[in-house]
Amino acid sequence: MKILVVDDDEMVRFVLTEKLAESGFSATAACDGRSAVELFHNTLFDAVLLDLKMPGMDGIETLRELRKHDPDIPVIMVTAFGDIATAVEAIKLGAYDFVEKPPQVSRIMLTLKRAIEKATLERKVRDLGKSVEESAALKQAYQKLRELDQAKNTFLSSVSHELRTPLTSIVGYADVSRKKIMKLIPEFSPDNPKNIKILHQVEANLEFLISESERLTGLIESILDLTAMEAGTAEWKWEPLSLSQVIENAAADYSQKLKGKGLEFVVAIDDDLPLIKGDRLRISQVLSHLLSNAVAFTDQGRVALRAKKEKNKILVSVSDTGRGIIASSQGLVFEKFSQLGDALTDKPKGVGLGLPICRLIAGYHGGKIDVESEPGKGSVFTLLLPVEEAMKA
Amino acid sequence: MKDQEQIDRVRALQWLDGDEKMLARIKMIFKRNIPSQVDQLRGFLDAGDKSSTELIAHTIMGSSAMLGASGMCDTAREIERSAIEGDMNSARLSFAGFVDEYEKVMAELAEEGGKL
Repeated sequence: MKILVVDDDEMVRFVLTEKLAESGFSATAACDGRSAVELFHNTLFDAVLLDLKMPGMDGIETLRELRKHDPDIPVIMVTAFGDIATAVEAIKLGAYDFVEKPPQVSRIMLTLKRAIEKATLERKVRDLGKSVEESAALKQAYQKLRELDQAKNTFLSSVSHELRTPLTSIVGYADVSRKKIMKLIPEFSPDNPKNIKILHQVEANLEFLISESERLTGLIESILDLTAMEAGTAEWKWEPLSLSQVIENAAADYSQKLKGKGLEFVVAIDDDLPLIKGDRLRISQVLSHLLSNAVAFTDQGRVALRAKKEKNKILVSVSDTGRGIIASSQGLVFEKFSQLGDALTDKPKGVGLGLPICRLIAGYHGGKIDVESEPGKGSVFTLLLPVEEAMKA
Repeated sequence: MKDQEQIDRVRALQWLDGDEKMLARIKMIFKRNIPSQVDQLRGFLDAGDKSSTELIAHTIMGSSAMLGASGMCDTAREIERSAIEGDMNSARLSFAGFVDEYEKVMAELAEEGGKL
């Protein structure tokens, strides 16, 4: 089995090629993306271990080039501190999995063996498909299998990276803070500006620790929520619901935040909204998420929360004058791990589970959620709740 | 690990599944490569070159993490983070602390030179 190791760090290249050789693989190393692509064109490899962050051609660009040449090659990304945006991008481009640096040799070997096994099986299934005159049913089943496998891989990789990233930061910052304090204690003097500076650094680190811990907690809650809803095991508390009241409460919760950001906040709720049967907390969760997104992505102008009855539907909309979402990404914002930040070609915010959860909640109420947006002008998210359906729930 | 030790041997061996010979060999690569990388980092910081600073700090961070040199890794990470944020003043400020950690690591490697 021939493995291509691509990394700009000689230590990583050395360890991986030596250990691969010890395990019976034939390993070739490349120190950058361009050399890797060149090698790939001249040699048949069975798998690639590819660094994500490299000078010149980075891991993502290299992955694209390699897969142009061989779309089935198993590629495992090696990254120091994987961020979700690049992680998801690489998985979408067909990377099998990620391992973090420093790379633990035994884990890499295991992942590599699994990747090769999977690629071999896929090839066998494909060959089988050919041998039975490319049976349409088999091809269809194979395609479905690939889609399911890809979805599972995307989910698992994204989740594991999202869990590890804040944990790595938490451990790192806690360790740095501990060391700073340990160093400071024997020589501490309140009059020494250097000592005060260190205390401020530790304070900033602790703030970061708290925010990363909160992010992690939020992520875990979102995953549990989403999993339970998808599996149909989530608990629902159906009751006759005054949407006006739920909307007013959400508006009250966000008015300070909007004011604090200097944004105008318009609330317009029709007087004659009928009661529906719904889950108060879940509807509040949807409104809270939509308002939170509006605050996050609007730097100036206005956010509006409106509700009205139209025929047998209640329309609740959250509109903003924010950055908007490019047309090609509007359909993706309700997909798992497709963050709004991505869709706006901006830095990701959140983990990309909020809107998929909102869509599931709307669905459980017999309704739906839509978005209309224009880049640079703003977005309108509309929650439609069919009154009759909701009453039956 | 003793307080004065910069290289966490136990941690480094974890990545290498306990391979002592491999650790000795990566120490040699580290000693050979890192001084020029530190020089490059200094040059990029002086020139205010954000992307090159980010990349070389990232490489140094990876190498020092692999060696178990956590102090050096942490300070390289600070520089990388500042460069990503475009705050080259903070990156330059962190560089002083980084050099301190780097010199301690190199001194420790020089001291145990015979053992390599």
